[in-house]
Amino acid sequence: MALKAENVSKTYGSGLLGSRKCIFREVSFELEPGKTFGLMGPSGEGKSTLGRIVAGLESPTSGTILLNGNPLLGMKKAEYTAFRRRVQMMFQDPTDSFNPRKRIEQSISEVLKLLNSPESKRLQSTKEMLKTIGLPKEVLARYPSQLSGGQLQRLALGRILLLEPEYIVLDEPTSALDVSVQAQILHLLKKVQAEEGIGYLLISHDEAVIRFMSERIGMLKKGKLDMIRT
Amino acid sequence: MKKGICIQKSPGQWKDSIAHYLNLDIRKYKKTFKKFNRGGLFLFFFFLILALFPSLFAPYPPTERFVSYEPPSAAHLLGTNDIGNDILSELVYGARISMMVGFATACISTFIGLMIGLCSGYFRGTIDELLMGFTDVVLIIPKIPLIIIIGAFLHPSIWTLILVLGLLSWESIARVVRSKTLQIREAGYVKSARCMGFSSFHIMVSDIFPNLIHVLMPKFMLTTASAMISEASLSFLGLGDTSMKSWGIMLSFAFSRGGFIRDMWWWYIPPGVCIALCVMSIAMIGFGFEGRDEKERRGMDAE
Amino acid sequence: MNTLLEVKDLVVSFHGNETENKNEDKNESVTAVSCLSFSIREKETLALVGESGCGKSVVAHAIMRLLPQESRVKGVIKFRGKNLLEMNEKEMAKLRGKEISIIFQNPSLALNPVYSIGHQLAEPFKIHGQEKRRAAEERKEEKRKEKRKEKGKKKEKENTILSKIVEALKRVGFSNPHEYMGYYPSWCSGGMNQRFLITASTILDPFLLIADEPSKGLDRDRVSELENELKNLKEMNENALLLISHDLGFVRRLADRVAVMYAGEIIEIAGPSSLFESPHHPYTRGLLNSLPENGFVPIPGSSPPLSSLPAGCRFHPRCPIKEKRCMQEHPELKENNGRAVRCFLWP
Repeated sequence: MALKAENVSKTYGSGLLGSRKCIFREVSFELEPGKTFGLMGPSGEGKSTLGRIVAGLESPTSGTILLNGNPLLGMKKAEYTAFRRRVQMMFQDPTDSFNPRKRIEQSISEVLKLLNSPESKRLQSTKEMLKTIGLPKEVLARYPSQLSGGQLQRLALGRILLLEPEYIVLDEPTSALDVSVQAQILHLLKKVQAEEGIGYLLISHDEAVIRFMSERIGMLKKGKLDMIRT
Repeated sequence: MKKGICIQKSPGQWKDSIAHYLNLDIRKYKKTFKKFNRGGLFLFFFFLILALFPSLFAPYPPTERFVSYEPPSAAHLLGTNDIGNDILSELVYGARISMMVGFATACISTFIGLMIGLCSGYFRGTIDELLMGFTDVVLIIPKIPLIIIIGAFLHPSIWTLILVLGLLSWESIARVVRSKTLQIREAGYVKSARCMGFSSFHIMVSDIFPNLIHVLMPKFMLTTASAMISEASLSFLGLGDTSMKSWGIMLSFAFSRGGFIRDMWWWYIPPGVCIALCVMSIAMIGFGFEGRDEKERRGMDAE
Repeated sequence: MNTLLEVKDLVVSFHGNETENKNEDKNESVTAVSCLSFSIREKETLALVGESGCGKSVVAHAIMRLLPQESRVKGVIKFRGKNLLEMNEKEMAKLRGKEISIIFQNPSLALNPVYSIGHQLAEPFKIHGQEKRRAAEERKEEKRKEKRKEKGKKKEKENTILSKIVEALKRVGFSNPHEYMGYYPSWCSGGMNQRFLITASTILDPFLLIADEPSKGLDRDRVSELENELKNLKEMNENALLLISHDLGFVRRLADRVAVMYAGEIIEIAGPSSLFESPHHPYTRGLLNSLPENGFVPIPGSSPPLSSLPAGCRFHPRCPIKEKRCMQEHPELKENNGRAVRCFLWP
């Protein structure tokens, strides 16, 4: 039971012209349910790229991603759809994580529609979700531009939770937020993890955030992953 | 340097700093612009009503015949033409045809442009290169000469005209839609929608398309306006459908059947004025949409 | 020391244009900043801290008179004895860059990508050094005079500008400035661009430098780099700095005085050491507790939107020590030996 990255490398640029740029080479680590793996390092070292690869949104140049021993590359369509549900990603900028032309309600109900949840149950699960993330019901009628960054980041998390994922890749989830809101979001993430047993891959350049959140920590620097805390 | 900093802060301040430099109040101009836009809407609805209910406004059916070459009088406000049709009635009925050509063309070209732009912007890669290559090919075809040739070979009909104009004027829409799609594609909500497993079709329809409307609307209006102009010029060259009398065809007849020689200004000036006003009103609405888009963006920037 | 900038009872409100098509707050105006008063002495660094949406950037823009047209500004902003709010655009344009200068957030966007660094650094001289008028006069005379002589003159002037730029670039730590002057912003790293931007903002030696969230979105390394930059600047030049930031650690190391803003008003002003060691206002305390070094203890709830502020003390819904009168009366900013607090519970 784990989400594993095995010997993952990523290079950019075409090989023919010799202008290949290696972002990172042979990186391996493992996410366990209910635990957090913190990935830190200076910007421009490919932390986000590694996150996207783990979440299956980008393919690595070499190496494999395994979900419970099942390689991502060889998955059939149905399996991949299941993978898409089980591994989610949360992005840095809360202000553009929701479609600005839709009310929050609409964005949420679309996710529920995607899950084929019956219409009668939708309101119930939306309410439960709002309770988990600690927001009042009024936010549903708002447009994203009418909400603060902290509220939107909570909602982004809540929307992901509706899919009942096993792993979430958190790409700088608090770096666009104020300190007091950052603290709230981090506590919320911890609470959700304790309740649902979700495994996190936390990507951040802020060492304090990583140290606060993670059981194990890796440092991505100069294309290599050094384990700092295991 | 200072100038550079101020200008690039946000689109809103860009305008403001121009105002600072010219030392004038831009708000005043905005207001007149708004009035302008309202005037455009008013004119447009006037023409739209003319086009939808011509029988309410025209004194006679357009095919009824009276004495020919009559000057303006109480019975015929704009006189009659060579075969004795009442020119005012012709003018009113012509609105429908001119506007229909404009809007049908714009619908076709907006649809094609949207599809091509959306697909090439969203899927990128090979599809993008193929579609944009095709767009470039269409872009360099000289439109009017091609239509003249097609018109010479095919039976001149309003429907061929619409089809040909529509099939040839979507390139700029496709390019605008593509660049906007490329931009929206990188937004967080599209990324997270892909991450949550929504289908590409769903993302394109429900996440990207609504954010394209504000660039599509002005484009749609301007395409309509330019299609109406194209129709008028082609009709004037004698490539129009003579069974459906648009304003362009009226001009053409006035030219070929002695309106100009006899100096019958009531025959050739009204359709010309109508084309000019109608196109202007549509273009003004288009500009109005563009202005609103800018305002919205500014609102977002001001947080 | 003299007071350089004095802001008194500043009120900035926006008229609800932005929410026009969202059928809410349609005719209501939102007060972003209410009755704000503070002053900056010469050579002093004042920091305005607060969460996003508390109106701290609005203050900077109000001082520079860069607010959009929908805004209404009331109060007095006195800069070296002149009220900035009564000036017309022409006078204001003369002041901007020369006497008050601003560093914006994103260095890579604030520099114009199509001009070289040297060109952009020379621009402030061209705009403000009365170069324009003189150059125009010279051009008229040029026709009468020999061309060669003119060229020599022009070169001389360019040389003085050049040497000033070189000096300024050396000051921010570029060892061979001549090379960098030919560079374009896209060739340089973000940190270098940030330094160029600071150079450009300070090259005319303004009395007041406003830094609007200079550390937002930067890496830790870059933040400390920027911090050194600003520290050097403070030591070498004798200008005052208004630092607007949400980064408390950054502020602590740089500021001489810190003003904490909450929901459009200042709730506490104090020196950094006393503020960070013994915060008086419960909000300041909460803010400090949510810092990483204090263990990320969050303040419950969230800041109220500026369109619907609570009655009484604006912080009372989230305050752990609130009393009855906190919900009814609005506390005033009370000054007491160098620090000011807006709370009933602190005399």
